[in-house]
Amino acid sequence: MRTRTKLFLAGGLGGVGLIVLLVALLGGGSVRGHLADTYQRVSSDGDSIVYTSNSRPKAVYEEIRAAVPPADVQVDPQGYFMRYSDDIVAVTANGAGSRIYIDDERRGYAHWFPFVVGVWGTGSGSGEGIRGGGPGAGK
Amino acid sequence: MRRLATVAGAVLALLFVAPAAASADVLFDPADADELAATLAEAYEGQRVCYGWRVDVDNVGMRETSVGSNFGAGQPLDETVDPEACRTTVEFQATITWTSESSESEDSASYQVLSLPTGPTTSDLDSLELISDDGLAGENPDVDVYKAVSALPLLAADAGVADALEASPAPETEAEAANGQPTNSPGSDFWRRAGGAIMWSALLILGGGVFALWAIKSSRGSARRRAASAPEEPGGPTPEFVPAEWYDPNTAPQGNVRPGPPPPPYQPSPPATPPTRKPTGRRRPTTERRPPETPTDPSATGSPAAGPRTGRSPAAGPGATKPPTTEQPGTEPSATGPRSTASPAAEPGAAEPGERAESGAPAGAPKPTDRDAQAAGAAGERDEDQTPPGGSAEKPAGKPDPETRPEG
Repeated sequence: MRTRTKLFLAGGLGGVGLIVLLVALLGGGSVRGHLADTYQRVSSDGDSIVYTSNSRPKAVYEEIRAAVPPADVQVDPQGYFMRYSDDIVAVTANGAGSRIYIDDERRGYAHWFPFVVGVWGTGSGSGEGIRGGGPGAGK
Repeated sequence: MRRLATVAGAVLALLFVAPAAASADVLFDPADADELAATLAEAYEGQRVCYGWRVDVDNVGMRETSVGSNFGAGQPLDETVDPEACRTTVEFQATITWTSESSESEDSASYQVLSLPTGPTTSDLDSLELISDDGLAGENPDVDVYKAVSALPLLAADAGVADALEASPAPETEAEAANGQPTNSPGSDFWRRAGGAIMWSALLILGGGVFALWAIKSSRGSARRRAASAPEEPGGPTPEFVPAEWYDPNTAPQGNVRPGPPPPPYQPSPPATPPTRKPTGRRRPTTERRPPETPTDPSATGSPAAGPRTGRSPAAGPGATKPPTTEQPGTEPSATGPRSTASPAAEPGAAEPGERAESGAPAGAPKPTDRDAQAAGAAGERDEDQTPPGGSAEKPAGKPDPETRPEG
């Protein structure tokens, strides 16, 4: 293999790496930006914003998770709850469609306290989260 | 009797309405099992679909089962008291195998969602990306089972077998009253989203740089190796051309011949102008060209420098003739034509071959021209009686006898 060919290959590797880096830095955004661009805004109160969608909660949850992966997810028969570094997003049913709530971390924990207490924070309540395994929890 | 019937009725009511208190469970803490059953019971109230779980655990050979449903922890779906209450059932089933610490086999697990008669499937649960086989076989299988069972009502609503349940945000005072605060901050969303891609891009860029350095170093090393191993030409470098006086077509090697000794080094510095010949008053021949004469030593083929230089030198081309036998003092030999000097014995004033360079006609001078050949031919005619200094009076075979040479 000639030297020029080797240098072309090296340049190609570096070019691909630069492209991947640019896509990682420039691609994607915050969950707030994604919700604002994707769903219809219904109301807002400071950092607490409510959106609606015609899709069912499962589809909306999968779409948001795919676009902006959350740090943690909690589920309840009444909805999906996703935690981000600064925000908490809740997806629940709204007739045939869905309603999406986004709050900052403090207000979101307070709004959805019965569903996430003991898992994402402290506090006494009906939902204390999973305490731990039973007598036989494997090795 | 009446009291007995009352007690029996109360017991039956408790069995139907309230979830049974969990006993020791292989998977869940009793409180967690009760809480999960209560969650399913709330879903059942809103959707009229029965939900449950069954997890079979092989605990190092000891088989145990964790069961529960909306009827209570420890209450399996297939043992409900009122089958009419469960026209649609959705159950999470799993199998977990725990091996001993010394065993080479790893823990394993599998799961499925069973809906009767119809409802959500295992793939619907997989699409939520909440649990996995590895997670069930990991450190906290109870957390994964809890999440999977809690999602069953959502899947049933999405599958169309039940109505969706709506949630509303609680008032902030409730959390404040419970002194609820978020903890365990999850970290940067940017690094969680782009951390993997940034790592791969760094690896690619670094790999490209290392590959480029290796390519440059290997090319330099191969160039040095080629220069060091370049073979030398046998017998030394081949000169670009041989001086005219060294070439004699009659004795030049024909076909495959053994190589002769290398010619003397070539000194490519022809004079600006050929040395002029002082007029001698002699008549120059106008037309005739004489064939070149053979060298004095027939054995020295292709090796004009094998013996001492003689007065006869090979001509460079067809126009070359026998060199002259005498030379007037002060006369400069032709720089481009064959040597016109006589033998050292006959011509004391003649220049030696080695001194030719001093007289301005260096060895290996440019090729002779026709004019020089004619001049040399004229000089050669005057040297009919010249004999080679080598002492040999033999004439080369095939060469014309000077005595019989035609007059020009």
